[in-house]
Amino acid sequence: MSQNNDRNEPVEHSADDSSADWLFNLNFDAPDEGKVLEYLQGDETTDPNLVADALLLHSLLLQNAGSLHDSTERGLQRALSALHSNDQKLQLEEELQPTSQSIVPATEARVHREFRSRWWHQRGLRMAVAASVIFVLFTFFWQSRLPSAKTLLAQAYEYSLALLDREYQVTLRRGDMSMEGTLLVRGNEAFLLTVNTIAGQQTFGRNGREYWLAPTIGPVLKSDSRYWIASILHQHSGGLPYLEPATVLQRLQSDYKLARERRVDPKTNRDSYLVTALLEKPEQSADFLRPHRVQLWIDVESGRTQRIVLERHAPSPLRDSSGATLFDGTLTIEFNRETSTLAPDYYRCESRFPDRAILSRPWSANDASAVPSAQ
Amino acid sequence: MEAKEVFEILVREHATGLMVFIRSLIADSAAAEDVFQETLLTAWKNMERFDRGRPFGPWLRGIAGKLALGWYRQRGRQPISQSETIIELIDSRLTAIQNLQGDTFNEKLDALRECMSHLPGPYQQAIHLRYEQQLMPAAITEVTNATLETVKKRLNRARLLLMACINRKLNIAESTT
Repeated sequence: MSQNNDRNEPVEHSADDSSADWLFNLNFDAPDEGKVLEYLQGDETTDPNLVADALLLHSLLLQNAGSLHDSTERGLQRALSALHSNDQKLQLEEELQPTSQSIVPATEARVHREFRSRWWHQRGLRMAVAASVIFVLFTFFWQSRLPSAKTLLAQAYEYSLALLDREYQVTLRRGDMSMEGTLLVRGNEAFLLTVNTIAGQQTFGRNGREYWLAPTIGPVLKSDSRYWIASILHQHSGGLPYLEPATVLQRLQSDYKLARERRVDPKTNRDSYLVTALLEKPEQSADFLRPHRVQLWIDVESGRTQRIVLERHAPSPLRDSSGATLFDGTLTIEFNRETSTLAPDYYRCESRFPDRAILSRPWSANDASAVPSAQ
Repeated sequence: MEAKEVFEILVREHATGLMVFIRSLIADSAAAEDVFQETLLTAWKNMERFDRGRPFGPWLRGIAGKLALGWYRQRGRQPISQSETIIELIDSRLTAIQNLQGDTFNEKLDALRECMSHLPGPYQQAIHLRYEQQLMPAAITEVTNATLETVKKRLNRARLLLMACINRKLNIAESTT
């Protein structure tokens, strides 16, 4: 295959790119990162604006890709924990210090006794009123200090974009039927869903560019069409093509009425935010597979989405033996663990199934019927 | 509300912008995280010096800039004469970004995303592979079937186009020339 070159590619910038070549040829991520500044030390003719732009742009692009999110959260947690522990230490020191008590002469006390009695009575009333006001204000503040559901959703979405490998337990319930699987997700780029069926193990995946399905037997099927995987998932697992947490969180940002509260997660027993999203006009939704109700349990301390529960109750004349419509179902995506050590090719079907044939073709949604059934 | 609670709200609001600023100065992620944490602790210790009539973000970045320079000194690297100038320039750009529309820092990055969407296809792909996929130029050559020189050139040109585009959006080109 011939190599590409840039000779005829459009260049629409006013700056002289050759002057910046040296800057960008440095490896910003190398451990010896001081090179950039050292380099500048010997070159006073370099435009500092260019250097500032380049350094900031690199950092902004990292942030945009979600690469800085975890280190920001970690740094924040560490700093705030240090502040809290320091406060406790100071409080303990204060408690251990002897308090100085004023000694009031007995005669003086007698003179002022009646006056103080009245004063305390009035003060007590004032304090009771003040306490009530403080209680109301505190309650108001407590509620208003809760982040909005939209903010929580945006933060959860941002968290989900980090290029880390996160493992979730997936459970689909539809009527009497229940199916479990393990989902591995890297940001919104790649996923791997392994489902155990009666016939054996079946794997769906996305490697960033293509979707693929490895049925129990036969060749691995690959396509660059997202509609294809949606059709396959619907065909084989009762629909709900909302597997990637990032996709779920993104889609909730419109057409859903959001509410939030702070609660202890009954499953993890941890302080959590519960965000509930209700599809506002299900009958008008173009996507009939869209979940009608979604609940997110977000861990307050880590900001991690611990659990997503998607429910769909679509009106349909098609019912199975249990009476549930064919589009009813509840999908639970429960966080298991996080790792960033998986190989870059972990999500590629070629790596996972090196001994199996791979059929690659541009599928369309109409081609779904041609895919072998999973039994 | 206790001072510490106010502080916590403020730092949470400015945490992302602060980390972006520090990572602009220190590319090593572990060191940047340390400086980030040290910045917050130093800020807390010096809260009484903070002028509440002024914005909190630039104050935090002022502390972070000094700590970053200190970090370089500790490693035996004398900061360059113009490094403080560069820190100030980055700071002024971040102030301009903070003034963009959006509630969160990431929402303010819509300007960057819009600039990225206008890049020519091969440049967009290079940036995507470099940052979203975290591939180094050598690895990008395997995905794109382009030479290393071509990949570097695409990244360079893409960054230059992005810089020009963002500067136009922030309107800082005029103020810094």
